[in-house]
Amino acid sequence: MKVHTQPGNCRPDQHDSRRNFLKGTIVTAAGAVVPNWGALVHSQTIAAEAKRLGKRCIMLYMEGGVSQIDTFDMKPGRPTAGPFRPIKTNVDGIQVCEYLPKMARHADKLAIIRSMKTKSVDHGIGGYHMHTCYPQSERVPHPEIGAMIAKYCDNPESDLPSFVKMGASGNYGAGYLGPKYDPFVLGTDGRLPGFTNPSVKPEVQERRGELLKFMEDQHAKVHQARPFASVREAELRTIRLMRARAAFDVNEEWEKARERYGDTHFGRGCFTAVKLAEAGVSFVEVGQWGYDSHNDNFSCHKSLLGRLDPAWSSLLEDLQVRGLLQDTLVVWTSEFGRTPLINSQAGRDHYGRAWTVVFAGGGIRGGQHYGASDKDGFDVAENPVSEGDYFATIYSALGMNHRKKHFLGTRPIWATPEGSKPIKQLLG
Amino acid sequence: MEKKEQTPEATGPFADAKVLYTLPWSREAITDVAFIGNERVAAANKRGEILVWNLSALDDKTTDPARLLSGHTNEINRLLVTPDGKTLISVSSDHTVRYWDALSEQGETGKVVLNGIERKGVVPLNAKPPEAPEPIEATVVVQKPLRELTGHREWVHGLAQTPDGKTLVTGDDEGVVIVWDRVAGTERRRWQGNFWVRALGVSPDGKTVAASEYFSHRHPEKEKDSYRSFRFWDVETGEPKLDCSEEIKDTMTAIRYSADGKWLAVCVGDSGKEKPPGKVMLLDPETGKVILDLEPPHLLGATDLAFHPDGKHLFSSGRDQLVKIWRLEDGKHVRDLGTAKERGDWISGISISPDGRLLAAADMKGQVVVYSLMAT
Amino acid sequence: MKDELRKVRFGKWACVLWIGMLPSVIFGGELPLREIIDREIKAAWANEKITPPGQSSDSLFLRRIYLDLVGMIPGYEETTGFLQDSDPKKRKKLVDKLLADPRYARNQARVWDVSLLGRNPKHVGHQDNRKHFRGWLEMQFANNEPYDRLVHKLLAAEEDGSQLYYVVHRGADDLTTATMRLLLGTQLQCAKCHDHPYNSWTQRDYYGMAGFFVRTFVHEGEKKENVTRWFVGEKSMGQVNFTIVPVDAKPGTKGEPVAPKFLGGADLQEPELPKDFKEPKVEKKKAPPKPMFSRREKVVEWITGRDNPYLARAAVNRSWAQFMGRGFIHPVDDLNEDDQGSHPVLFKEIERQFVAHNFDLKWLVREIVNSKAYQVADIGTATQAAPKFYERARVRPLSVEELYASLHLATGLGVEAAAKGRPSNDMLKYLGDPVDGRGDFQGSATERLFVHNGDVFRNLCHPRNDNLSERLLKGSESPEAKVDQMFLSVLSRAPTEEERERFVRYLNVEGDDAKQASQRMEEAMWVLVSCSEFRFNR
Repeated sequence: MKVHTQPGNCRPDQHDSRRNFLKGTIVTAAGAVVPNWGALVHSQTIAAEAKRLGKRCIMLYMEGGVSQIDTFDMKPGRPTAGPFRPIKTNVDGIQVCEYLPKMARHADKLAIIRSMKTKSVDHGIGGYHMHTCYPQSERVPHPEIGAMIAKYCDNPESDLPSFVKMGASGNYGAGYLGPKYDPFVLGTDGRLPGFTNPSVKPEVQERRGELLKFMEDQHAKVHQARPFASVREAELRTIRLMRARAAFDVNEEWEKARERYGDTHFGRGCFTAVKLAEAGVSFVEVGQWGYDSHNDNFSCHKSLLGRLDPAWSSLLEDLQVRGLLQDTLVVWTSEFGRTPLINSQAGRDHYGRAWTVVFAGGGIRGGQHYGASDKDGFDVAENPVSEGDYFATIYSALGMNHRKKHFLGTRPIWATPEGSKPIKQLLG
Repeated sequence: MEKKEQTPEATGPFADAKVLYTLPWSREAITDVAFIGNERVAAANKRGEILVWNLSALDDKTTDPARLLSGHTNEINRLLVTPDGKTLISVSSDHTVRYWDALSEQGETGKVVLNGIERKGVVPLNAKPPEAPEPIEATVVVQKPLRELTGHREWVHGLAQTPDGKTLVTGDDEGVVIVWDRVAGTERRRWQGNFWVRALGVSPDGKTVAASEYFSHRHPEKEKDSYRSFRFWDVETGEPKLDCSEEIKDTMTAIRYSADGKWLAVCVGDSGKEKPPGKVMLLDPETGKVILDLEPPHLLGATDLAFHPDGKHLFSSGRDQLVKIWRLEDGKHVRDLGTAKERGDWISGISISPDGRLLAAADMKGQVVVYSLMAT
Repeated sequence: MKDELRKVRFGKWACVLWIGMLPSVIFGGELPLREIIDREIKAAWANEKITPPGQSSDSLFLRRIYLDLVGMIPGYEETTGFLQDSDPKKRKKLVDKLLADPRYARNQARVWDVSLLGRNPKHVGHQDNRKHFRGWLEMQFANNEPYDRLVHKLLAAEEDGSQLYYVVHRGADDLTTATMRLLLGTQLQCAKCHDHPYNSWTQRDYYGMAGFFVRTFVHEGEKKENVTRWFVGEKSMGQVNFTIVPVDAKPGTKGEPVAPKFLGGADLQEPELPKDFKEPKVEKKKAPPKPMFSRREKVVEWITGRDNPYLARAAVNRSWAQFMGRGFIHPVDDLNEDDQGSHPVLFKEIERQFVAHNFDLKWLVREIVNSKAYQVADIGTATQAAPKFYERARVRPLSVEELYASLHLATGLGVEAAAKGRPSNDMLKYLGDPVDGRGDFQGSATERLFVHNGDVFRNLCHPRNDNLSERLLKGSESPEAKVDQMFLSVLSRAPTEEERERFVRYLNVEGDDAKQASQRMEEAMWVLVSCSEFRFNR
């Protein structure tokens, strides 16, 4: 399987760095070659150059299927309403669930899309579709959104992985983009996985790394198979990760932030996402477990929203305070929504015919609804948004071409299917 | 629920239990039921409505209610009737506690719709939304509450009273528990717990409140085990005096002391799991320790408890569509009423008439079933 | 010189050809399967205009065959012994030796266990239950139980330890899907919710098969130590009901009853139950009563029947993929009626011979690994892990069990140590599942972090317990000889000139610093066990 990428997407100096990256070295702007197969310390120059430019994305993924009628698409007085009541926000005409009081004060940042109309309404396939833009039955290894964004918005100078994931969301992989764009997966609360701390002294790390590189180079001369390349790339990423691990260590600052974000895994995950965005990571996904409320939907959502609200609102606040919100697209999404009708176990089941996602930041025009569902929430009443449109909007906000073409052998594959259109009303 | 399950011990007490009336009310899921004397049954639903049926007025042709008690604006979670049989008390997700005249038949005439859309949830991919059926109405006397207590700021689920009818205790999702002078409707004491107080019981002497608190969550590796507690509080001081959170690792849906104070029964349900266990247990009222784990437990969560006035039996209801009858002395399972079903219509509440001859069970599908418990 | 060799070789080949024709004479014109394989593979190369690859070197073959047949690399003695042997038949003899080794059965049990149950199956309870199942499988492979008999035993679930399959795949849904996929190579589950997207199967076909399993249930018996004795029972009543229902419906959702129907075959004929029949009670901990009529028995007969069109085909495809890296049909469990595979003639022939040899798996394995196609070199321009036309040896990651055992052998701890222990939980976690949903290897930073900073790799390289590092440190051989030993132990080959020189330099320390020497030795060993060459079988 040969993979060709479209030329002409990067700046010449970036292009140069990418080539060298693959060779296993870094070239500074001054042209000095720095071996990085084990060196855990690098010069100031590189560090400075690794500072980020360009846009990034944070995705808040509600695992299990979040109920739109109980969050952003309230139906007061209707038989499908349930016991939650709506409250006003800081934007006239926008109401949210009473259990999202902090988010109510950020409504001016939010673009609330109430007309999602999607096809894959089960776990697994729904998660796949909402991560890759394509239904799972196709036999193409589509990359998930984080991999795509990591590829086109990444900073090859940065030691940090371009795609970080934590919490519940499943692993869909980098597909045809190759293992280089696989996510780096943290614990559910944003903690580094085990063994990130180097176990040997820096000089040992460096010299054995050099010897390992020698072996790999010898091997690579005659062994072209992809799995070997995959290991080599992973090795490189690992070294750089060990080098940059301080960026993931938010313990000290977390002490102060804990109150605002809520002392929960998801809260800490959101805080970590802010720190990573600050450090230049292109795509961070934070998952929150547990929305699959086929029974006791209201108890379930009440407790989860109680944790979502402070975390999400603090994330938006902190991005704003750090001047990052303009360049950071924050997407709140799920696999699918939940049924307007409440079932006999006081629950709601999966629903794709009309549900809600929310965008903020990244230049998105906030303080508005886009699209609407009918009076009881059964169907989309206006402006349906497909998976393709949703992805197209995200890619466009990040300055990417949503009809980006790759090749699988001779077969072309596009980042979004034909007919996908970014939502102009939302894009600045 | 017309079918009976016969257990081998069908010759014991309640062997002759049978359905007397099935009172349909499917407008919205019914959440609780309470006998007013031996002749009247009140039931509450998720629309905030309460209906009262006069059993003596029922026959083959009519199962209509006599009264509608109107006022709540959100789901009613629990009902009780004071020991003197004069006042009905309801607690709701509209944050209020309301008192109602249990006996009066006075009031404006009005109508109430008894049926509604079938609660299904899953709708086939391209189907139209379900149509509301032709409304079936009943003519009723509509009444307003006698009183509205607004001390709570969150959903009120916890509700209990002392056998002398003087003390009322309520608990809400903010964790606040209020001990009221029931007659005056004034607060005597209040305290703040940590999580949702969805089940509480008060000892007959009015000195102790046993409260189960939890915070629903569904995580495969639990984030914190401490999202749940079970404590005994001293009413005088408003302080917890005994923490039994480790004793029972599940959240409770009902906690009841027997009128004579000998027994403390708890039942377990909705702990945020997809399939909560449905255990019913007898605890030592002094120490909170489990004395008996009643077997076999409900298949899914248990929802309510009621002590039989004979002082010898405990009834429990569950999400498995069953009412189970237990013998207190040795925990023996006497029999089941109803047909067990795993994903069926939960029984949300039960009530036993003061003379112990009738049982009312309300379910989420929308009916109140009244059983006669004894031969005559 | 070359000419002379050529003459000798020609002479040899002429002899071999003559002798090789004997079996054809005896068996009525049949070439040994290995030669048919070679012929067909070669023909496909010519067809695709692929330059035929060379054969693997001895050390490459040695390592490859050890891992594939016994699940671990050869030890130092075995390596040097093989490399120094000048017997032209040494590869064939090695194959015979390894197929007779008890580790072969254990390895096959491991491979089939992971296939049948998955890496992390639910419901297993204590891990000793899984060990018990593997033990049962191992016995089947040790006795070279014919494959159709093995499947029959697995599905009949009467032998002690064989029941775990039903425990893991509970419910008619899971059981039907698993059985169809794993044993018959058909992805029938796609036809559950709508007629199959790629095959001609319909929902009726899916539910028809599910009907055979809907009455099957698993019943817990006594527990001895940590091992539960399971019973697989079957009710006399129960139907699969189905109607057009939403995507996530399960058999048993309200609908019309569907009679069981053999896939691609007839409806099941079953007797009526007596009118007042009551399902007998199942007693706790005891074997459940037999049903009046067993649907499961019928479907097991059908599955393991000689003329079942799927059984042999699926087994051949799976075994072929196990050794060649890629089935004739890929993915290995997605055989559909229209797909003849990458080598239709060869596929059919192997299937025919497999049945003719009474489903003898060991015979099949012996033929495959003795073929030249299996023994091709690992260099070439193809970059896929498993090239479709087998023009380069496949590259597959070692399983965590193979890694564990091989690490012990590589660091000189011997076969006993390798075979005895088990990978730690950490090791399982970080190295356990390095493939993505499509079976392609994914290099991951978490795995590399474990290699770098986890204790397993480091501890084995650290000089101690008379391991290789310690022995080399103490030994008096030349530095060059030591490096040779290291490479032969770990990578089963001699180092190149460059490698030897580089490693000798690395191990050289100033003066008599024992600590430094030890440190360097550990590091050098670590590099060898951490490099990508070690991580894969190629």
